[in-house]
Amino acid sequence: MTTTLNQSVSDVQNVTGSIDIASVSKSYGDTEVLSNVNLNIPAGNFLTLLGPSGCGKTTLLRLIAGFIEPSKGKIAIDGRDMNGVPTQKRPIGMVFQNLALFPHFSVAENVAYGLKLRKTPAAEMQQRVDRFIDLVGLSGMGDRRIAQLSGGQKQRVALARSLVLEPSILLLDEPLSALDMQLRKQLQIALKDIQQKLKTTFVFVTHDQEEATMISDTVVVMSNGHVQQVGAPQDIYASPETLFVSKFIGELNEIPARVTDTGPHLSIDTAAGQFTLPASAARGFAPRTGDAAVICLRPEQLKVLPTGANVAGQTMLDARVVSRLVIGPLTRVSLRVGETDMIAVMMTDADTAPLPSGSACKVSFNPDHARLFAPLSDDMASAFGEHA
Amino acid sequence: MRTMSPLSRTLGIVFLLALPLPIFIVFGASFNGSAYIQFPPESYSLRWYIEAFTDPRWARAVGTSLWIAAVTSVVVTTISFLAAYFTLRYAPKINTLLELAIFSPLFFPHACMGVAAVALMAKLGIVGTPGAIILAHIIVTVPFSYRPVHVALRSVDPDLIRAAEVMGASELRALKDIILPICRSGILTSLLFTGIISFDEVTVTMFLIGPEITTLPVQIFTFIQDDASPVLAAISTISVIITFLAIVLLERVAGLTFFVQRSGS
Ligand SMILES: Nc1ncnc2c1ncn2[C@@H]1O[C@H](COP(=O)(O)OP(=O)(O)OP(=O)(O)O)[C@@H](O)[C@H]1O
Ligand SMILES: [Mg+2]
Repeated sequence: MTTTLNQSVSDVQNVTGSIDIASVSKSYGDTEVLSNVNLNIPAGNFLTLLGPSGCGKTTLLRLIAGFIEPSKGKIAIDGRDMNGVPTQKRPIGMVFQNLALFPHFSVAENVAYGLKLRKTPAAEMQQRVDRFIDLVGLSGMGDRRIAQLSGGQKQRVALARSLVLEPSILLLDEPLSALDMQLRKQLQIALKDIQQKLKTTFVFVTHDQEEATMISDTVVVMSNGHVQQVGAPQDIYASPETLFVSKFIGELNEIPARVTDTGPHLSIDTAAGQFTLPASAARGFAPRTGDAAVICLRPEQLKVLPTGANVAGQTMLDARVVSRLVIGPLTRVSLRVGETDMIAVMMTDADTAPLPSGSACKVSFNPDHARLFAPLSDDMASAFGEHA
Repeated sequence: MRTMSPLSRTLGIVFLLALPLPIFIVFGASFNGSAYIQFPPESYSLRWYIEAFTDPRWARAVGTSLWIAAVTSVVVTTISFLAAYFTLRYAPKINTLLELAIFSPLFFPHACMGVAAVALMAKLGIVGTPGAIILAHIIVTVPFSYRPVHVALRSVDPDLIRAAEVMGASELRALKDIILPICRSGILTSLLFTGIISFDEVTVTMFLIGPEITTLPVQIFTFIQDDASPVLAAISTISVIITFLAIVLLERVAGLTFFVQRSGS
């Protein structure tokens, strides 16, 4: 009996903090900044919103926090419809993109404010404030004024201030953007740690895809107010559904191409030559003869071989070595294939007979690894600073 | 600062000296021993100050003016703060309209407003009461209160109040803990500036006094019509000193920059 009771208690702890976003749209006047967003975030998930500037990440956080209401659709927290529920009554904490620290309070007063509102006894408050100030690496700075802090220190105060309340959902809007690499790594680990210990649901916003893949359970790739793809970081990396997503997560080689025949295999014409791909290479669109398309290959899927080489089952392209860069265990080879620049990455110790820069070579890849996408639409291309 | 041409520099100095000249004359005349307002004084004496401090009519008028100024400034600052806060947060689009309404008292001659005020107060049946004077002073001072308060509030990051709310603060609590302290200098500016204007207001107030109540500047005005006694110079000097102290205080706690900043966005 006791065990079942205990179990049900821990079950209850596990289930608080789930968020259901159903068909949510948000418009300002005539412009729709979020379009039909559907997301089910399980309790305790570390979910990251990833997307270019202006794609609606902050807007989505503001909707969850209740600062703004959806124009369409519903947001529920722990199964409860949040429509009309004021911010104060939602089980959330938030780290704001612009931090929103109270400038007339000291560091410790900022961290203590929420505890004070909860009428936490003075001794406990002091102890918790100190613990979280230590946690973010600001020990001994409790008495500092906000104006006396660096950008990175301010971000850490904002983190401590929201973590100390241990909400079941924490919304973090680019909380690590102003930190240097080392501190960033350190706090990424600390955040992940806290998140797992407290079983908090994190909705985390970042521009940094490396950060996103490192710390999240789930990544949501957004663009122009639309959710492009949701999944575990490795799944999104391995099987992106659109060109936008594959460009956004990880490094990518793109070969502009034209479809010359569709069946049973795809015949593709490129500046680097003609070859065939399996029909399953096409993702997110049904190619027709004459369609423009883009072939995508990850740098680690390319092999650089001497000109005479021929490997059965592999697609071989004529290429030229432009340069070679050894970064510790990895070697990056810049290549010119037809009219396209490409990058191949391999383990340095696997690169037994390196070809000198300028020499002709062959580039090979497994046609089953290649992905064929429709080209980016103009508005999405602009997110990468490209002109279609 | 840009350098000024010699002409505008000379003109500037002349103006700066000429503006307070009447005050120096009143100041000098107040120490005159004779029974007439005279400058330069013939003999020196403090008799008019003694009279000013011992005649209960003056003491009462000073007291009335001070408390009316205090009530006016607190009420008008509260109104401005709430109006500015709620329009900025919930209805930024109506701000232009609201400012037009609030600044409209600046467009009307005060005598005209006095006539309108007396008609309004008569309808309310409160002519000759402190309430009428305070109500009129609120209307006259509100533009001078709204501007500094609005400027202060507008420069506050709107996410601050949301941050407090996320942590569980009610809107009122967040206002008190976060917004009010940050806007402190704008609020003090409003309090002191409206207090000074109320303390010095004559034209509109004149229409609203009664046998029971009068303010210091109106009392001076009525008095001078019967008797141009140098006690008036002493009283005027005292009221100049009170106003001056308020302005020094204003400069010390808040600075006077609010009046040169634009409040429109
Ligand atoms: N109050 C508003 N009124 C009108 N448009 C708005 C408003 N707030 C946001 N937008 C628009 O909505 C879009 C999404 O904004 P949002 O702040 O959510 O972007 P973001 O993904 O957080 O970008 P960033 O990475 O730069 O922070 C932008 O085009 C922005 O201009
Ligand atoms: Mg943002």
